[in-house]
Amino acid sequence: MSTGPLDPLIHDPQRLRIIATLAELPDGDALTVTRLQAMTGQPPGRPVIGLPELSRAGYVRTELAGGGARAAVALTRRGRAALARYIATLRHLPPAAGHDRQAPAPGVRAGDADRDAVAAALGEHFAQGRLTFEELSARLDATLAATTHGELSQAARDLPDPTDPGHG
Amino acid sequence: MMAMNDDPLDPLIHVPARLKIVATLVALPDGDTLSFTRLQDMIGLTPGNLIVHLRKLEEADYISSEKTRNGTASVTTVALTAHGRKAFGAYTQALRDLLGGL
Repeated sequence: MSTGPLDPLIHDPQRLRIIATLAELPDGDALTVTRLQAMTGQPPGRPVIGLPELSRAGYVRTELAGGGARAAVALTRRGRAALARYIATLRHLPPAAGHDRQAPAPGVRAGDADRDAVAAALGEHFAQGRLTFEELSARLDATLAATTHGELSQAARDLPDPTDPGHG
Repeated sequence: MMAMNDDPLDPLIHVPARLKIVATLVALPDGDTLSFTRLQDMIGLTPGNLIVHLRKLEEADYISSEKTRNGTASVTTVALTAHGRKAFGAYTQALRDLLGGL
């Protein structure tokens, strides 16, 4: 099972807020703990929730120069790279949504070419063992009688895309 | 209409598995549905896992599901509701605000 490579260290809301706040600083700049708490909506005067995990992962660096609240927190190079990967992963989230290429709205009228394409796909699914012969003929009847794209997609509703054009 | 969650990063959507589900469903044209098996293929969750997450989303009225009998087998299809689409919009906006310019 894969729940996706969304870096769990960053994905946690508290930690995401910290890392996003730090990432907006110019490279090399740091924030005091108090300032970081104010900017991420955490209460002052307490340990920063999420910060220990980020430090341990080497994503942020805390310099305890003047002690607790005045300590300076900054994003490390590693943390910046991890955030960049995280954002790239977010951008590509819908993994195979590209498959559903701009399908026409269900109410749009279907033409002969549309019906033929679905009929051909059903034949392919039958050949690959996804449909029994009875199912195939019932669906072919429905396909050839379909007047809208909604009816067509209903005929192929639970079948994977046989052509799988990929995307990009 | 149900209230949206107060947390800008809606925890109902933020959980990675549910984020994938919602992001996949939001990419469908309005009114289209996806079968359970197809969704499972696309997301790569076990059926048990997927059911639990879908139930959570359905309880919040973010998705709707429909079970239809098709001969001997029953087919479950799911779709994003208008409410869910709106919640996802708010979620991505919150993320964008958070990661703005990065």
